[in-house]
Amino acid sequence: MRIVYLMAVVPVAALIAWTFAEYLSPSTMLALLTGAAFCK
Amino acid sequence: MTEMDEAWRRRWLLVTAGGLVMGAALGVRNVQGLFLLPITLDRGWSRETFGLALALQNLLWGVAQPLTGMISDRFGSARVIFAGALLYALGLAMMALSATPGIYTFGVGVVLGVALSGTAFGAVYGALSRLFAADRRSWALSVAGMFGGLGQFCVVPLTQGMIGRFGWVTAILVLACVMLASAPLAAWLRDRPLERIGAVDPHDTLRRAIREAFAHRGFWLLNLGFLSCGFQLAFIGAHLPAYLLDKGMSAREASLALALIALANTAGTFLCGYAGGFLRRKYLLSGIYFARAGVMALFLALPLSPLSLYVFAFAMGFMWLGTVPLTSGIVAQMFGVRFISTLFGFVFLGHQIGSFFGVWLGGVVFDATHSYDLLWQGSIALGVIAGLMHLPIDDERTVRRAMIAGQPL
Repeated sequence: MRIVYLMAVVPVAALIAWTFAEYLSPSTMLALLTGAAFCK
Repeated sequence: MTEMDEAWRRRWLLVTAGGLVMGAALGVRNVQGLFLLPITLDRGWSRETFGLALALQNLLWGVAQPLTGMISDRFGSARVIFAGALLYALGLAMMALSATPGIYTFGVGVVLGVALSGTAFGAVYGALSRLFAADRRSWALSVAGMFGGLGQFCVVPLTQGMIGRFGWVTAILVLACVMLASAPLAAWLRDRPLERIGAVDPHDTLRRAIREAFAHRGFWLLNLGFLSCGFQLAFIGAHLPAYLLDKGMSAREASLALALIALANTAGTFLCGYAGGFLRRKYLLSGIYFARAGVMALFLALPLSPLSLYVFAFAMGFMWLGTVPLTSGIVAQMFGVRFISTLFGFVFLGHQIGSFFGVWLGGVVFDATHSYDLLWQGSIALGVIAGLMHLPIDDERTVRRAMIAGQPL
């Protein structure tokens, strides 16, 4: 059972870490800050 | 596999299916702002055209929610979610391929607005509320909400990467394919409209349910509280980056704040929704609104620094959409699940009206005073008022008995 949880948790944690880092890439920053007002 | 294991496997399948549809729908909606520069530059359209389409989408989402809710309650959520996902893909295709502002506005504003009402909170939470027994409903809504939050968080960089690598048209078409692929998941969300299996009082009509809800003070208080929620989130989501840049924070710090809000929302939606299973939802909602007001007041009172910003972003993100499963849960608790999609749809309309005013007044007040101070103060006041308004909700008096037929999970 633990292996099943690990198989689910590890990729999700990796995805979150990658996503978080990508938020700070210049192109994402620019797009977020120019377009944020329009997507809420 | 024991019977118990099999039941849990089925429960997980249902919440995963609902969560994935909602995650895709909310995630794709959340990235539409990323297309501002590519679309306006490439097509030569104004930002007003772009903004009008998205404003219309938000409004249509709210207006359509009670109507798609009525269809869900009458014909079952699965059909609505399936059609909603197809409509979502069509709207995205129109967004990518339209050559004129008129078609673009229709596709993004009208088609996607209606599609959201069939694929996001109202539709999925309505289905899960009917499919799960009352004692597991909070768990189901919280897990699906967590998927929704994760979708909103993760789709941003993925989409930005696609725009950079393949161009904005391809990126939107890929998102359309994602929505198409999510449509079959609706098959797992086949709830059973009770009149079809003859398990209800024929006099118990939708009209009567709506009349009873609107005659109930608690329903109005929930509506007003949710309107405050929409106002706060829309104001902060739309105007926080500009506020931070005006105050001298860097683009990196502002982006990090947005990422923290999105990430904390994933955990917060799950925990707030889950807590609704063993704590009184009205007190949880009241606590969230008071806490939001307190966090905003502290954020304004303390000197602005990266640390104060990140703490603010995390705290607000944690309480961002946790109100949604709790509000949906309280509607089901008070009014039963037979017409849950319709009744939650009316409450959600209040949320979208609040969102509209949050974004619009933010711009109007800033233009008039060159400051967001009044809006921050208004948001804090609304938080306190919403917190107070939830306290007298008579949630223990079940207005409509939860007439469950079949065997809810």
